[in-house]
Amino acid sequence: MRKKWALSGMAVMMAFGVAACSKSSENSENSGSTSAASSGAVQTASSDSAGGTPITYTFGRNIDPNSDPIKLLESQTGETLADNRWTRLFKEKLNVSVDYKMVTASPTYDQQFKLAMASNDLPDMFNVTSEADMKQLMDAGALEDLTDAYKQYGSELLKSIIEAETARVFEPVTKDGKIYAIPLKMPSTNGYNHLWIREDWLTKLGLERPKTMDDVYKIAKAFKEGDPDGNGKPDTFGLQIDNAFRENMKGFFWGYGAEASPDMWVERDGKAVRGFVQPEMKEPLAMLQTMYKEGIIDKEFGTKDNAKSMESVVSGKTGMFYGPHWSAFTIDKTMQNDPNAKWIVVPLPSKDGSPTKVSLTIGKDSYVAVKKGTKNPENLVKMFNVYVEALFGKDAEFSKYYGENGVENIWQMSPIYTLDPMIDLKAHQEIKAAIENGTTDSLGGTAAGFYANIKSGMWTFEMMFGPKDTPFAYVDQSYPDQIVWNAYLGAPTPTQITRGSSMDELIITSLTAIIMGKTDADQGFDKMVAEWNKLGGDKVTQEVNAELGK
Amino acid sequence: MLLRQTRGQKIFSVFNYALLTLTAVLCLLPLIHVIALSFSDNAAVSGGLVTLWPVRFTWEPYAYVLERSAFWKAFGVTLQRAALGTAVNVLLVILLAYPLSMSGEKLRARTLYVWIFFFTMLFNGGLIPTYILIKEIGIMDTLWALVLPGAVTVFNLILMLNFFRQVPEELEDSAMIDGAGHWRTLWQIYVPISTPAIATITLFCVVGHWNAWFDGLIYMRDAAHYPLQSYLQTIVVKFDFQTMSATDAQRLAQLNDRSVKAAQMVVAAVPILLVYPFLQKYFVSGIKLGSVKG
Repeated sequence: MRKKWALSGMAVMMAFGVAACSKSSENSENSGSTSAASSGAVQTASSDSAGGTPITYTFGRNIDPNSDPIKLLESQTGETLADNRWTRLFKEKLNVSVDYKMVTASPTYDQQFKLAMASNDLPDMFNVTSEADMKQLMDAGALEDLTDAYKQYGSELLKSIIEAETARVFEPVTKDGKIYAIPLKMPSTNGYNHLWIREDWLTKLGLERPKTMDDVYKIAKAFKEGDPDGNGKPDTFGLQIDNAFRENMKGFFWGYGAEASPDMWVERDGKAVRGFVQPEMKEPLAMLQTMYKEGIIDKEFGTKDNAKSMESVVSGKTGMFYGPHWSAFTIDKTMQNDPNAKWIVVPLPSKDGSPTKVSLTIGKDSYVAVKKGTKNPENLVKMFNVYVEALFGKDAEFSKYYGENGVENIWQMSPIYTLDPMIDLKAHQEIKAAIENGTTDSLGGTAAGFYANIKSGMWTFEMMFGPKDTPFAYVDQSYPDQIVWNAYLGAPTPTQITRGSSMDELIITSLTAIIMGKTDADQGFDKMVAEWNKLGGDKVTQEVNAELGK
Repeated sequence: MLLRQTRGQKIFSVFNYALLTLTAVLCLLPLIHVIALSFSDNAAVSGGLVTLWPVRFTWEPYAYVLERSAFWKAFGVTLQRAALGTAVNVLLVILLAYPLSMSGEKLRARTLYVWIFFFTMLFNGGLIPTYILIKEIGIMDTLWALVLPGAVTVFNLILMLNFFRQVPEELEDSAMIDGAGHWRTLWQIYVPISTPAIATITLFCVVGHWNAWFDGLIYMRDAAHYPLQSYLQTIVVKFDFQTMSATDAQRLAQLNDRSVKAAQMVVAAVPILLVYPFLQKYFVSGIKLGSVKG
């Protein structure tokens, strides 16, 4: 009973988030006494410009301090999240100490963060995990302006990493030309959606690798009907699909053109438009409808989430699926259930066999912002400088700070982090070249770490970063020439906030109905688009384009 | 029972038993499934091959859980919380139920007081005001944040109050005549004869504290201070693949580890299952007695 109350309270709280937040920030500017009391004690020690004067910042960070890698590092060296090589480095170089005030992994962090926002209890520096929160904080004037700090103090190396792919990465944290947070830049190549196929099944049924979407259909049909697992029973599926097919198999839709990007905004005639209402969606939907009718895809997909639906892939009953490169961790177990299984990743097929356009959104984890009134906000930028220097600078000690002795992600155990967006791709390229030239002993950086994992028999790493038929072999081939960037990166617009969920509900139920053959793929789709526009789709599109100045 | 049943009654009994058995099976199946998962090889689990019996039996998940310091830390927090929280709950309920069970002549405005408590069962300040309160009184991130907000459990109070009201007034009167004050009457007359009710609310409180997870997530800002169920919630909750950071490959590998999660759930459930048999004999009579005068 009380739990229910608490939960509904939570929901109400989300709705009132905007009002509560703007109110709380007013308080902080007027009185400021409560927040000063919590963080001021340490700060009073420091004078105005903290060159070498010690200063402590309270931090909000979305990481699980109980996670296995952190515990492993603790057992090896005694380092903890609050006191490790990273925090010591910041102390040594900048005289900046970090005091974690709020530390727990998302999605719990996101809830706690909203509560802290509403009750005017934010730490000095913190992760902002959503664009919507970011917008609220900026609109409420609750954040320090970091424009000058970034321009003036940001090192060349830092700027080259954060803006590596496009300076649009700052779009969601910019208001009136000023930037209010630093994005934690990550490789955008994580947004790829690859086509994974059981090669042993292809060979067994005498099939070629797919080049076109028709090939995909033929292979799926053969996987369904040709008894590829050889148990004499028609118990296999051709292609995996789950209830979040818009995101999880977007690579399938990409095959029909860049406009068919079901989870993004795409550009059409100079305007940003929503991918899932574009007419290019019709053809792939019709194809899925046919597959559904013929039993090539699971008829219960509408009730299965990705984890549930992937079970049939792992147990050797489904031979083809679309998924990110880290799907390797999921399908790692296939070989234990079927020793003959051999997975490959093939270049994404397209309708006519031409190179497929890959629609990506700019890769980043979250944003780090500084609460209004915090002293020396430029220290955040300086911390980023120190961070990238330690990992990617001239005198970098890469493995010490990236990961060593089986602790793979020391790089994440810092209050702030960012990675060279090319880090995974470079590792693949170096490993490939080293294997060809027989110079695997002289590998450095991430490549050395990945290669060590491959050598030690970790199939997942070989599958992800190996030289041939792997996700990164395809990334290498297609990046950046075939990339189309998400046309809108900002926060949900007002109409999206009020109507977004019912609009989304309409899309997902209509698309599912089309695949299940309950609605026609042509007229049914047009009807869905009309309804979506009536519900607010038109307005959202206008708002987004206004935001983009188009 | 000894009377001969009519045809209708027989048919009713058959359906009744069938329905109850079905319900019981429905309640048990998920538990059995989790236990089966916890003893299964991870490959079989992620392949969806495990239903009600372990596939490729292994102790590995349990070995892993037993080595996990974070799990035991959370376990410790829950033990402390259950002990302290239950003590506070039961004490306050007894102290409140005694005066409120008096007749209107002895305690004026008694009904008003009861209504005030009852009101809090239906309405509360909401999440944010409660959160701010906890923050301002400075018990955030401490054990007290899990104990004090729910210190008076009104449902249990009403149960206890009704139980006390059944105590014959003569008992109280004779105690008074023998020179006992209210304090002595409460501890030496009311409490000893209310063992069933006290056992029942103790059970309610222990179970409540053991299973509570939401307050831990909200009031504990350092995940290292989570009680057991909050900790379990963070590892069991479904992750949204779209919003999670993709390079977090290690965590993803762990996420797949459903057999380990299952083992942790089983280990977390065992202590409370052990408490039940000892308190259950009081359970039915406790509730029933308390409700007669409801």
